[in-house]
This record gives sequence, structure tokens and C-alpha cells, in this order.
Amino acid sequence: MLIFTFIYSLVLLFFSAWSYLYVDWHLELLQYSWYKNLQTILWNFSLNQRVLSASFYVLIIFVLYALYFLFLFLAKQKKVTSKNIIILGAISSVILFFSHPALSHDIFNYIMSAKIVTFYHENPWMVMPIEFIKEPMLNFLHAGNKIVLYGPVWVLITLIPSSLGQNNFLLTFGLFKILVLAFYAGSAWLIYRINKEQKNAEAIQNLIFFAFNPLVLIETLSSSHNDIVMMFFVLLSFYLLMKKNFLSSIVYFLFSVAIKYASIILLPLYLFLVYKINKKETIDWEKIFSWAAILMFIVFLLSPLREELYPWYLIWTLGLVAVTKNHQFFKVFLTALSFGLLMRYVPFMLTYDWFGYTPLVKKIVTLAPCFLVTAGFWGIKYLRQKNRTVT
Amino acid sequence: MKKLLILVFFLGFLFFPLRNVLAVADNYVLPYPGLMPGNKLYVIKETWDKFMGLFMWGNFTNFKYELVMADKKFVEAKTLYEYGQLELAGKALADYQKRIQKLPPLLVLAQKEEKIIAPQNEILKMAVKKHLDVLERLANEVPQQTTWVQEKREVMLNPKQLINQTIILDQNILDSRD
Repeated sequence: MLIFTFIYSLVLLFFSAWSYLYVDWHLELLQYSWYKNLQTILWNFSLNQRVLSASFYVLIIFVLYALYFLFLFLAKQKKVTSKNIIILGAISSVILFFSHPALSHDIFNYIMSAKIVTFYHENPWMVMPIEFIKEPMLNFLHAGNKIVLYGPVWVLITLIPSSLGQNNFLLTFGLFKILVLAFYAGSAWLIYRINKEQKNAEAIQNLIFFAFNPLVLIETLSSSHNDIVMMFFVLLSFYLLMKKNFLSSIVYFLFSVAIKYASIILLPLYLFLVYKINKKETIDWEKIFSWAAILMFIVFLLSPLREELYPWYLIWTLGLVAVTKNHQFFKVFLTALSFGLLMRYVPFMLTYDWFGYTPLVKKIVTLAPCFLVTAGFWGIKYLRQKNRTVT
Repeated sequence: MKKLLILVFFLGFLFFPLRNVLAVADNYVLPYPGLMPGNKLYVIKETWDKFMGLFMWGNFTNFKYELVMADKKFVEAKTLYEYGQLELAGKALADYQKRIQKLPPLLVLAQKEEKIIAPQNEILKMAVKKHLDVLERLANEVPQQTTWVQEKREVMLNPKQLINQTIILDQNILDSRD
């Protein structure tokens, strides 16, 4: 396990270093001349050596998935302990904390929305960042022409790092990453606890399935998306329902909806669950979490109605599938899909163009792993059935 | 077989995502009238607008909110004048006057906070010019004075005077913004 941990750390370090190839051209992280020179070299590399930089990314993802499957295998062999998980989690958090959000600029939108409240004393649901003409963040903000897209609880939570950051961009940036990191750790703990509540012997495996999925690692610890915050409150509300703590559960469920509205789809299931627990009926939690995962997967599939199928939206489904015992195929399918979703970034890395062939290539790279895995799964099942018939 | 069909169904979403199309308008456009004074449900609209007002903090935010409210009242007044509902139109126009007068001081306060108010200033000018165009047309269409007769009561109204008053108010705002 030690050697694998070491390799894992190296890969994450390589990813963190690679991420600085894609710092926005108008963002100066540090004012020192040595940094500016280094950043210029990195920009030139990413622009002129697109195939190489994209290849590095693909290699990193492949190795991360290989290590992911290895950790899952070792967990199945009962060779991974809670201590190993904590060490891996800590290593992932520390290394990826220093990575740059190369694949998404959402964290800057979060920082700006909070700044509209703490610095400009305006309402971010009414006023857009572009209305503050002198605002320096507008140079690298990609959604400056939008009001805040999230609920009030998210904005309230972000007031903490924004206030503590005292309008110092780098400090605020770091504090936002720590905030998301804390919810990642909390979600991982909840997944473990919920598995233990259901007396699931594969609790460690399920924890690894979620917490060390490369999509979850990159989109949460590097890109710092707030989907993990929503999922933390969803998991917390279900966990509290398991403990029959109704009031707190309802409050945290509402929190999740008031962060990112997607979890509202769980409301009918949630109300049904409250009704059943109230009537003191036995709850089949496996079924409940399965349905919750399917519902969130439906929202994920419908997300192009609003804008686009973003990779980080899969975190919603992964978090709920991670607390189920069965559904081997669904877990394998989601793993393949998560790989495909991370590959969606490659066409843009190669072409620096969102149009032309990029949309088609994105669809192909997303779906190809899913088709392969599905074909493989059904093929193996067919062969096993055939063998049983023969014997 | 059932599982395979379900899987194909879900994969279909990934391959054939649904799309939506956004339309963007860039000229100053007055809002749609919606529920009008006199409608039994109008009180819900008014209550909701007042409730939303509780969450408006900051000068830019209040500027946007008051402008939206002013536009709403203005469109109500315009529609009511066009339908000959002179008493309700007068009340709506009086409300509009209260709202529109709040806007310039908000921009002054925002400027004191070192915010650049040029875009908001332009929006205010465009809004007021739009209002003036409509008011100048309405001033030619309404009577100088009229007796408004309803069940059990009669009211003397001076619609032209109120409209001319509003024109002067808007013109002053426009002059102060240049």
C-alpha cells in the first residue's frame, strides 16, 4: 500500500503542476517576476504544444483510474484500512489544494458573488459582476454577465471565506478551496457512516468508490465545485432520518436545495420516507438510496436543457450510489461514464475551439467508455450463462 | 432485456441532449402589464413585490428594483389610460412618480461609494425617454377634466394635469442626468 500511495502522490503532484498550463491569461496569481516568467513559459507550452499537454492530461487520468481500480481491488481483499483512507484523503487534499482549477472557472464566480455582498454590499441575485466596471476579477471571470445561479445558503456559506479573505484575492481563493475540501471530507465521512448504519461489509470499498474517483477528486479538490456541498447536506439529511432526527433532517434537506436546486427532485422520495418512518414501518434503505441515485441521475441527464452536461454533475449520483450495497453494473457504468466525462475536456485542449468538431468529439469520448463497459458486462454475463448451461 | 432497454433510454439522453434557445433583446422594452389594478388577484402581485423589496440591499440593487417597480406602475398607468380607466390610471401614475423620483439619489449614493454609475445612468435616461414618449402621446388623448362616476360616488379627475406633471418630473430627471 505504501508504494501505491507514493505513486498516487506523484501522479497528483504531476496533475497539480500540469494544471498551471491552463491559468487564465489575464490572471496574475503572484506579482513576482520569476512567477510571471514561469507562467509565460507554461502558457506558451499549452498553446504551442497542445497535443503534448493534452496527452499529459490523458496519461494522468489513465493512471489515476488505474490506481483507483487498484485501491478498490485492495479494499475488496480487505487490505485497505480506515487509516489508509485517511492518509490517502489527506494527501489528495493537500496536493490538490495547490493545484489550479484548470478545468473550470466556477470558483472565481463563487468568489465574485460573495464579494458582491461583502465588498460592494449589493444583492448578487440582482446585480451582475460586470456592473462593477472597475472590478479587477472581470479580467478572468467567465460568467461576469450572470447573476448568482445558486441558492441563498450557498451564498451565506461563502460569506465566511470572503469576509476572512479581506478582499485579498489569493487568500480568499485559498479559503474557498479549504471550504470545499471540508465538505468533501464531511461527505466522505457520511458515506462511510451511512454504509456502517446499513451494516454494509463493503463500507471501505464504497468510500473509495466515491472519495477517490478521479472525477470527484479533480472536480471537488482541484476545481472546487459546490456540488459536494449540496451532496453533503443531502447525505446528512438522509443520515439524520436514519437516526429518526426529523427536524434537523428537514432543515439540512432544505439547505441542500437552497445551495443548488437540483436536489429538489428528491423531495417526493424524502416526504415518502418521512411518512414511512413516522408510521414506524421498516425502511428498505437500499431501495431508498437506489431511487435517490436514479432521480439525481435523471436530473444529470436533463442538465443540457439548462446549459450543458457538465462532468461535475455526476458527483450527485456517485454520492448516492456510494451508499448502496448492490448495483454492481450501475457502479461500473458510472465509473466508465466518469472517465468519459473527464475526457470531454480533451477536444478543447487540442483545438482551443468549442465549436466545429469539438461538440461531436465530446459526445463520442463521453459515450465510448459507457458502450464498451456495457458491451463487456453483458458479454461476460452471456458467457457465464452459457457456461452454466453447458455444465 | 428490461435493463438493456432502460440503459439505452438513458444513453439516448447523453447522445441526443435536449437544447434550449435563449432570446436576447437589447432595446429598452417596457414590461408586459400582467395583473392590473382592479383585478381581485392584484393584491397578491402587490404583496409579492413588497415582499421582494425586503431583500433589496445596496444602491445598485435598489436602483434596479425601483426601476422595475416604476416600469410596472408606468405600464399599468398607460394600459389603464388606454382603456379609459382614468381613476385607477391616476393612482398608478402617482405611484410611478414616487418610484421614479427615488432613482437619481440612489445613483448619487452609489457614486459616493466609488462605483461607476455610467451604465445605470444610461439605463435611467433610456427608461425616462421611453416614458416621456408614451406620456406625450397620452397627454393628447386624455381629457383636461372629467367627472368619474362609479356606484354611489363621483370624483373629479384632472388626468391631463397629472400627465403633464409627470412629464415635467421626467424631464427634470433627464436634465439632471446629462
